[in-house]
Amino acid sequence: MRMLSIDDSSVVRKIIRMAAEVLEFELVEAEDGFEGLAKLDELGGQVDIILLDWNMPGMNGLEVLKRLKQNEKTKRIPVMMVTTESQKENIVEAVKAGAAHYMIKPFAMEELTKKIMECLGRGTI
Amino acid sequence: MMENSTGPAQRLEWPVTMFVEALKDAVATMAGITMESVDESFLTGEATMGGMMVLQGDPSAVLMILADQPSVAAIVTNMTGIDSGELTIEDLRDGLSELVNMVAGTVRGRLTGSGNRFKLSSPLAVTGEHLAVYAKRHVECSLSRFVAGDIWLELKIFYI
Repeated sequence: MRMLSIDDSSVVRKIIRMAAEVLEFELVEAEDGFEGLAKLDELGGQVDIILLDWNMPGMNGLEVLKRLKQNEKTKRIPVMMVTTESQKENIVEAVKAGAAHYMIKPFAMEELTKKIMECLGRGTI
Repeated sequence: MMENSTGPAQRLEWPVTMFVEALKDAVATMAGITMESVDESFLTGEATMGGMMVLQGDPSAVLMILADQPSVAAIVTNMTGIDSGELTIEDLRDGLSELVNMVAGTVRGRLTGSGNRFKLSSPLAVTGEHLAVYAKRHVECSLSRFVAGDIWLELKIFYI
C-alpha cells in the first residue's frame, strides 16, 4: 500500500510516518498542495490513500481535493482530511468535495491508523 | 462587527477554561502527557520558545503558549516517537506551532456552534533567550500554567 501525506507541518508528517510504519505502508510526503499534486503525477496516480491538511500556503487542502476529484487518474483515490478545522461547515464542504474521511487534530495514533484502514475499506487493524 | 448567517455576531467573551482544556487535551492526545494546572505563582523556568496565533473577532485576542526548549522537545518527542537529540529546532518550532493551532482550532470549533465566530491567523513561533511578552497597560491578559514532571507550559491570552 502506498500513502501520500500532504501537510506543511514536519511534525504532523513525522506522526503520519509513524502510522505508515505501523501499517507497513510505503509513504510519500509533500510539504504543500503543489508538491503533492506533482508527486502524484510522477507516480501516475498510483497511490492508495491521501492524507491531506486543510490550511497550507499557496493552495489549501480543499482546492487540492477538488483538483484530485476532477482528475481521471486521481479521482478514485480515497482522501482523508487531517486538519484542525473542526467547524461543521468545513466538514460538510470537504465531504461535498469528495473527502472520504475527516480527521480533526488533535488525534491519537490508534485513531489515525484505524481511520486510515476504514478509509481503505479494511475495517480495523 | 463581524456577522454570520444567523445575524450579527455576539461580542466574544473568550472562555479561558476552554483554552485550558483544549491545551491539556491536545498534549494528552498527541503526546500522551497529562499536564496539571498549577497556580500562577508556581515558579517555572525561563521561556525560550513561544507559539502564537491571532484570533480575530470582537474583541480579538492573541493566544500564546510559552515554554523552555526541553519542555517542547519532550512533547514533540512523545508526539513523533523521535528521540529529542534527533529533533531539529525547526521540528520544535513546528511542533509548538501545531500545538497552538490545535488549541485555537478546537476552541473555534466549539464556539462556532454557539454563534461565536472568529478568524485565525497562521501560527507563528518565536525563539530566543529571556523570552518575554509585554503588552500595553490597558491590554488584559490571562495566564495559565501547567506542569508534568520537568515539563512546563504557560498559556497566555492577550485581549487586544
